[in-house]
Amino acid sequence: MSGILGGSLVVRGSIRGKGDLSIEGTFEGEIALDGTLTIAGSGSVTGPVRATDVEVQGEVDGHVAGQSVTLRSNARVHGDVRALSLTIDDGAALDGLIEMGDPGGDR
Amino acid sequence: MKTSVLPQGVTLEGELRGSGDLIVRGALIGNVDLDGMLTIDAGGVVRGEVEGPVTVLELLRLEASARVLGDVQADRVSAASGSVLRGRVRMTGADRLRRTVGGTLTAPFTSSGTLEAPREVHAAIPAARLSTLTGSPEQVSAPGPGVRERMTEPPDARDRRPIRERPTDTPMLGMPRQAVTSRALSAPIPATAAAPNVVAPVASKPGGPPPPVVPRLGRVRSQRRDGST
Repeated sequence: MSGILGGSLVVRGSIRGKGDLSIEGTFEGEIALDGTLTIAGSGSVTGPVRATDVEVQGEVDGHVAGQSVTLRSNARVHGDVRALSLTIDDGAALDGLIEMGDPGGDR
Repeated sequence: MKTSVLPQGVTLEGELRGSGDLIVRGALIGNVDLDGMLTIDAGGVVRGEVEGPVTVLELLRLEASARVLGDVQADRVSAASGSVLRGRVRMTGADRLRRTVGGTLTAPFTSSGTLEAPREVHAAIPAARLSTLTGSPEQVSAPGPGVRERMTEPPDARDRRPIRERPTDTPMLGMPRQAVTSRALSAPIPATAAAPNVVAPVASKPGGPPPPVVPRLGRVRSQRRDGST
């Protein structure tokens, strides 16, 4: 069962656990998810993000780490990206370092 | 507006506010200020202060530090002493998942006291009584309107004159003309109108008290027993 934090929600804190989650609203804090994390086009995350798979369509202000990280064409990331497998679509904006390798360093 | 879901296995620690509905299947540790319906699904946990209407599919357990400001709908509710609940509480059974009318706080604030509601409490409340408690007419369970229909005579069949001014040969509702006696006229109209509910073996004496019914039934049964043997 995948989860959604809708576009009208403002959440401050930390998210951890096992499952899939799509963030369409505003989140401030840390995310550590054993599953797929999607930051939708309307979503905005401020803080470090870590998940098995991360797909960014919206905005992230913080480090992004995952086994596979995908930055879609509207993604705006201000922070470092660390991934085993990284996909960056044309048009994505990234302001930070890219490190491709074992993302489990901080797990 | 899109419904948000906190899935099973995921813990959100922090504060959450905004509009739209939220279904919690995982754990939400922190304060919730939601302009929408908060639904705590089976297995879901919310620990913290909640502002806004809450629907709980099974048990709403308010622990000592819990604060809920808003209307609550739950199968069962238990509250530890020290917990705070401001709002209308409805314990649901069959009509779960129905959205409560949110917002208004009707109960005065009380901070102490234990509210324990085992499952049996709900079963003990008759459906009609429960519907008046909740005050939502669309939730009157099926027997309610049915009974009311049976109890109310059709408007055109009603003789609006006082009973004593009616001619004695005027037929009462649903009664054969010859059955109307002065005794039947003095009987309250609803009781007579409800007569179809009563197994009245002697149709020619509708105003009669119940006692004849019992011996008659017994006699019928004994006759049947005699007939079968």
